[in-house]
Amino acid sequence: MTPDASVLESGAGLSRNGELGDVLVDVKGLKMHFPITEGIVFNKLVGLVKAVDGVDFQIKRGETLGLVGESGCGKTTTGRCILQLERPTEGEIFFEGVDLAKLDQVALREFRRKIQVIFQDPYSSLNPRMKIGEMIDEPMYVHGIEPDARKRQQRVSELLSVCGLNPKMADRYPHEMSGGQRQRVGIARALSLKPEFIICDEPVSALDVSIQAQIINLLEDLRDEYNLTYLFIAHDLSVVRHLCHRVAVMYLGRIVELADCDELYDNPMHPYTRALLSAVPVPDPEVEQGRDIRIVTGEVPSPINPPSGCVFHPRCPIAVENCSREIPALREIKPGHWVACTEV
Amino acid sequence: MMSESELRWEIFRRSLMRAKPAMLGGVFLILLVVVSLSAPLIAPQDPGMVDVNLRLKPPVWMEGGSASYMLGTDALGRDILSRLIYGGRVSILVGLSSVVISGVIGIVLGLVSGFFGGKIDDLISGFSEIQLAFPFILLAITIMAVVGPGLLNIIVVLGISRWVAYGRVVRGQVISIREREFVEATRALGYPLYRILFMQILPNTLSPLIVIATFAVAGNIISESSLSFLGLGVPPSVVTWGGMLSEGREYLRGAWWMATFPGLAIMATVLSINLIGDWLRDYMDPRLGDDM
Repeated sequence: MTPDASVLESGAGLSRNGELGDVLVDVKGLKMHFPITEGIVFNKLVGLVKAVDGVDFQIKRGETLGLVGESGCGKTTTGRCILQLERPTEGEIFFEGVDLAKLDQVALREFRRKIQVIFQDPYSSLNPRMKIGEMIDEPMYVHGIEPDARKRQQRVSELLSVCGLNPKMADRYPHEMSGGQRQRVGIARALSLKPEFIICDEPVSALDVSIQAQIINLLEDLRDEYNLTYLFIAHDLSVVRHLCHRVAVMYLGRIVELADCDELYDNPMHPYTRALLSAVPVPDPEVEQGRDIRIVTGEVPSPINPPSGCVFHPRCPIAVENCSREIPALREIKPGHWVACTEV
Repeated sequence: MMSESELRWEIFRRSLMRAKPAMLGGVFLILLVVVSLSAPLIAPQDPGMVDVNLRLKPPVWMEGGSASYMLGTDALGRDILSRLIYGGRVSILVGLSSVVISGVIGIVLGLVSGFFGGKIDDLISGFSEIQLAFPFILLAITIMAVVGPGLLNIIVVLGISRWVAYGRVVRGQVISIREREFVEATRALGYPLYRILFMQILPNTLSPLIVIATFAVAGNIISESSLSFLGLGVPPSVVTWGGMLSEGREYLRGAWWMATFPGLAIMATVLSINLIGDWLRDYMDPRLGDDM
């Protein structure tokens, strides 16, 4: 079952809810390059957007892995590759030991049941022409999980109440609901197929802060109740800290640091992670004033033409000459704490 | 306590009741269909019977009119009212069935070209542009000249010559909808392709299609008359509103009733369909919803 015990596995042990199981998701050398073409009749390849450029990680059953980084760093694309909404250029995505990237659409359908997604924008993730109930019912019908319409309806009611909605809302249309309610519908739909693994693609960043906490708590409850595994994509580090067991920091298509949640926050090693963490405001004004803030200068370089060597070196405060030549590999500096930097 | 289907029907009924213009259109169309279907029973005269002695009789309320020829007679002495009743059959059949044909072709090609993009989109879009650049009437004349006149032929010709309007609108809508997250969600849920295309994307493109379709019914009724006028539509022995209109054109100065009544019939039919189309578009959009 478990693929060969390779990189990044050892640190997954420290969980908040006890035991973690076997490796559920194993991403190896994932690359997603989008071609840029020019011309109308003869499409000429003029470049590649290297949205994801060599990403490895593993997620154990029951674990929540946070994936953080700035916009455009490839975190959403990584999620879409695992969902097989994009066919990766290179690399392997093992789910329960099967490489999803090699399956055809028919063989994938069985796995689609087990891997679900919660999207960022609750306004575009629900079909405006369908009632809430139909939207949650349809996946069960399509996959033939429950042929009896009455039983499906009962399950729709259950799912709605599990997600904190009144079962009567099944008859409503999405436009009659608030953003938070819509996001709950999105979660109920994802749960309808009893998945094992859910990719949460910034599920709270489009919501009000007060609603964010409710949704996060809901996700947490659901994880504990149904033993779900999450890949939690976000750019809000405080949200990630609350929910995740481990965190991977991405920069320009690569993972630069990966560690257990507390370890990463208390002891960040990669200069980019340090900069990210120092950008999180502290609620205490006195502490905030005295804090050593390391601001990263400059812009994120274009993924079309990424810098040579370490992609972070043009903005890095501790870069040395060698950084522009050598691509740093992820090294395990402490047990379970992996950093892609030669200078730490 | 009403069952769900009863409730749905009740909502539909009330929404229609509140839309007075659509009601009016609906009543007219139902009447038209009933009259057309029972034409042999209610038509006062044989629509094809020629009697030169009775030619160009004015309607009943004018001097020289007769109660047996309520709306007057044409240049060959045939009863206008009876011809209108029979002509409605062909006009409505042609109008509606060619819309169905062009709608089906346009929707399928539009969905495919918008959803898949790439080479297949280039092919379909290129083809539709060629067809747009080619004058419709010339195309229809060419095809009709080859396959010969006939009711079925004209329905098919009108059907295939008007699909581009649907195809282009659907394609544009699909391109904007296919990237929306709810479509991605259905892909992630493992829905089969036809379900994503026809049950997720298509319903979101319907509003403009209904408007196009209602106008196309009107356009088809008129196109049928143009072709019949050129001798390429249905044979002259078959009565159509368009045919009557073109026959009456020559006598417009003296016998205005020959062209006016079929013209009014076309106008009333087209208007009714448009009124219903307007209401249907609003009814089908849940966002404009029902405040019940």
